[in-house]
Amino acid sequence: MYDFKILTEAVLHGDVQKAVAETEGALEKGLDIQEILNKGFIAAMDQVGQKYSRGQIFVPEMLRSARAMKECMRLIRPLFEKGDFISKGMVVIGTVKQDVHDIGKNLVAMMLEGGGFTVTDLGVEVAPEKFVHKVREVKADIVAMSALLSTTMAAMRETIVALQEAGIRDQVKVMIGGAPVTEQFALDIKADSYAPDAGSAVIVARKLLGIS
Amino acid sequence: MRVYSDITRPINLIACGVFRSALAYLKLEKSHPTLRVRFLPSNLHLQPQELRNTLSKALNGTLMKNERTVCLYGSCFPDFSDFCDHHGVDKVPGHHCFQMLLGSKRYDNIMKEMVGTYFLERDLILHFDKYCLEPLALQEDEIRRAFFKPYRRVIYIRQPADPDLVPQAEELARFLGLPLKIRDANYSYLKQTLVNLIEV
Ligand code: B12
Repeated sequence: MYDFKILTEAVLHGDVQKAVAETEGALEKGLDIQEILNKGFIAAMDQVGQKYSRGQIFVPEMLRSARAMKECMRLIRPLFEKGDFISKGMVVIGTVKQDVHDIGKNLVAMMLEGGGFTVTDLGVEVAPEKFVHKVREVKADIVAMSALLSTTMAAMRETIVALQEAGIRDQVKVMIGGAPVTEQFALDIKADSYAPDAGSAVIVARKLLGIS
Repeated sequence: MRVYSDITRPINLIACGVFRSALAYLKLEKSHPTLRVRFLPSNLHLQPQELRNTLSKALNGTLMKNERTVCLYGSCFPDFSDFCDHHGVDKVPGHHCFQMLLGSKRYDNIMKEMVGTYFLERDLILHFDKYCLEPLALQEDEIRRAFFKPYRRVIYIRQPADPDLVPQAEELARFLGLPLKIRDANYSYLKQTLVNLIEV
């Protein structure tokens, strides 16, 4: 049985070199990609998320861990595309209009990708029409919106209305998050779900699509 | 003329330290002699949960007495208004200090003009190292670039009693690799919203 401790520790400490070397090693040993993702990266980033929530680490440490995972994902992504990997669903993600905070959104995107979803990241300052357009184009299963400013949370509601007006609201699940966002707000704007961090975003996304 | 609910009842104004110079300038205690202002450190903003706990403690202290308490804060952690309702205190309307210093219309216009605007004001300029540079590790080029990639300019919101902070604002803007613009705050919005709340 492969010991993922070195990999998870490397990601946890943002040690890019070690994380990449471990990933290469695991791939050479022929380990299953999803196992590397789940037991290596997702497990590590879950711990990072928990430490952040508890105030044990702050944003730079989180960024360093994310960078380590990102570099490893570069090695793994081509194998996704080879075809022996079935996507769990199509996600369109972005930070809403008038908001350029993107660290949390990037983490969620990366974790969803690591969790087996195909992710289209629209970046920051994404207008409702742009979300609608992309959802249609890629036939998204989930649209994921991030907002970090209380002034921009309203754009989440606007996007949901835009999806309704475009007649595609019932074809796509809406998931929202970001520091000022709450479960209650998600209910108020009739989003399908809310997740407080990137780790639970993967669980919630799976639930939304009925995947165990 | 306004009717005061009880002009002898003490009013505690619990404010973020970012408003220290604004409140010194507005001198609201002159027209409202029962007003007592207390500031909490502005760097609590980096950790909203800690801000919530500190504010909660500060508010619990005032609730024991027969005093009215007013909060001068933006929506600096989730459900700030519900939090105030829960503690039985009033909150000045506004999302964050930059919006409150500029006035909501001016802030909206600035954001419409260029969303990628990063704001500086006196407190942040004077304590940039402690409030931003160190906790966010901005001295690391890669991290700084990751943080400020979507930004296009810095706006220094200059307040009436500010010392000459333009050279420091310029230096910070250079450090962030962004051009600097200056906008003067006149406190008209802040004063109005505060007075409206105090004079219930
Ligand atoms: C880092 C930071 C910045 C960085 C942003 C860098 C970047 N490129 O994103 C910098 C310094 C540039 C910045 C700028 C500003 N910021 Co800022 N910032 C923060 C800070 C400290 C941390 C945010 C962060 O990145 N956290 C780390 C990530 C990993 O956590 P997260 O974003 O919460 O994301 C997690 C979850 O929320 C969730 N999640 C996030 N998105 C999504 C989406 C989905 C679908 C799901 C399911 C989950 C999910 O999962 C993520 C990972 O676990 C917060 C305070 C705080 N602690 O939250 C203030 C904060 C968000 N900023 C704030 C403000 C006011 C500003 C500025 C206006 C300040 C200024 N001087 O100009 C500007 C914004 C200007 C503009 N034009 O928009 C305020 C907002 C207050 C309000 N009422 O809206 C906050 C809350 C600080 C405060 N307490 O007042 N900021």
